Amino acid sequence: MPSQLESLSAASERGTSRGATRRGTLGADEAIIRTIGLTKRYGTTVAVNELSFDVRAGEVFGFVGPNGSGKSTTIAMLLGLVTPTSGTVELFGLGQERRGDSLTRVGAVIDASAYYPYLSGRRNLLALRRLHPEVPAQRVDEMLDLVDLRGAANRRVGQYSLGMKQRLAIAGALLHNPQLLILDEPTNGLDPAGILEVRHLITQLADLGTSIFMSSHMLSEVEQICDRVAIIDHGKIIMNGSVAELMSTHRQTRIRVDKPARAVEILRGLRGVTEVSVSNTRITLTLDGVAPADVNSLLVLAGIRVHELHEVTPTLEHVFLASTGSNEYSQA
Amino acid sequence: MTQQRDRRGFETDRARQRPGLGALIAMESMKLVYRPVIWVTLALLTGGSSLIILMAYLSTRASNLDATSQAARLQTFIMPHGLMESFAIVSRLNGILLVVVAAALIGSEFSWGTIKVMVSSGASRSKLFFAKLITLLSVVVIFLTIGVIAGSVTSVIVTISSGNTLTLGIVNGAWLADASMAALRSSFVIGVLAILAFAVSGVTRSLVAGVTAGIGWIVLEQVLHVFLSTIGNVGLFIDRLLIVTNISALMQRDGFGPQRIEPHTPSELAAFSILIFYSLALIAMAYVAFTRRDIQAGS
Repeated sequence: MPSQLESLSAASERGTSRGATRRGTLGADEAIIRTIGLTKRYGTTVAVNELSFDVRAGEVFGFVGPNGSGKSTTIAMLLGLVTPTSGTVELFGLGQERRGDSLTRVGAVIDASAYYPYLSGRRNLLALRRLHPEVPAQRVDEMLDLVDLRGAANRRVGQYSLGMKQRLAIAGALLHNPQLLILDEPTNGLDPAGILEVRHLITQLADLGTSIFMSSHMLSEVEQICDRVAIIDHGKIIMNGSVAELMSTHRQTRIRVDKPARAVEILRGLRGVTEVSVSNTRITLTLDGVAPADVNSLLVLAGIRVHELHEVTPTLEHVFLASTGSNEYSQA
Repeated sequence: MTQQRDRRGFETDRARQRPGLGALIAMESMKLVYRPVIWVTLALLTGGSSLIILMAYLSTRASNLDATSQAARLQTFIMPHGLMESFAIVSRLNGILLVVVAAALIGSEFSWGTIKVMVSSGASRSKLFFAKLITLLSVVVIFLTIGVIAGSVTSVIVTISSGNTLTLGIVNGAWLADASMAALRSSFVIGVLAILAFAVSGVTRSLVAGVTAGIGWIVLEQVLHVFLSTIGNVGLFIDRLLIVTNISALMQRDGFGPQRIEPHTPSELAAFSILIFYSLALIAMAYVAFTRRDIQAGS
């Protein structure tokens, strides 16, 4: 599989580490996707509201948000399916007037069932090949091998399982060796083995230099794969940054004490403690400018025994739920 | 692929191409060739045109008409008149059967979601639209040809088995001109009906709506035609604007030599002009809907 993926690579140099060399080559502010003030209104409903973000060449960018937050509409605008009400979209530095040219370098998986059900998997890809005249015929079989569909290639797609259709969709998106892959919920409907396969494939493609823009509900997956993430809610980006940065904004300290009520009283009066929540004897704190060790000292001096103190780095799911207004963190 | 960089450092990759009209027509043709509805339609058409001629001939033979009337009726199915009868039958059959193909050509792309794949590949929406339209009109001509051949072969069989002489002596310039005009009229008439279904399907993004419009519109106009013919000059004026009236005006002129035309039938030029107007208006409407409207990518 590595040799097949390498043949797909859009990188001009082999063995580049993900992101860095590309960013160095292209310049720090070069974006493979750039939106500025992107807005889409349907009557009085604002589906996407002044969205501005960049996706840098060579990175894996996660785009997460609750249902109805505007993810799919944003992707539709990137792909020229939907016309923005206002704002701009640039792909590879090219604007709306050159969208057709820029889209020849883009592969997209936006709907796994978007295939001709009466055609076989192979014939579907052969039909797709007509959309990219430069693609040689043997690429079809290469892609079928890549997604492990060679055995079912001559069966009608209408007989495929959802997982097989998803894999065929990925094969179709990679057929023309795109420099940018746009994926809308790529693991939707897949079983755990299928999810692992897709994740592995995405990681390998990214390592070989393909830029990836991915929307997903599976935050654990985004956390593992993506370099940077944007969280969208009600059509607006509410957080945008590297995965590590986003998770550090919600880092917490968890302590277990013998006198929780007394501890909470002390802590709530302490400058630098921004949030305090209690569950039995366990207290969760969000600190701003105060070290956990200082909290420990303070409690001990007040005669409170501290049985346990540790820092909790939240998962992306925690960050997402907190950012989009859910008021409960899942227990670690 | 040859990879170069533009001034921003992006790979320009000049070998990447947007598909041209020819490539898109080839894609549409390939999709149609493997689509079961095409072969079912073709089978119904060829079987239908042959069967209708055969059954009509046999029922005329078995009828209680006097010998002279029977002989006159039988002439309709015997060559060379069998050729014109084939055109008439195939035009009517195609007008119904190809409505399904026409609506499916565009409506199915939206119901399956494949239109998103095509548009997001960078293919020009204009070229996609015209590729589908050209493919549709090609199917019209091909189906007409095959249907007429099937009907004509049946007519030849009927001619020989009824003891009549089959000769090529009748084939002259005038005969060829009449046959050519019949072919053109039939192609045009079927094309108008197919464009109607295609356009409605394109605007509504629904195969069902296209089929319903293609068949329902004609049925509705035929009912209207009967009604309008009873309300005097205003009715006659409106009737001359109906698609079915103008199709009938053209089809009445099919035949070898001068044909008897019903009273109040529009002239051939007028009929052709009105149908051209309808076709262009429908195409324009469908074109704008196809190229300008948003294609939503899921929820």
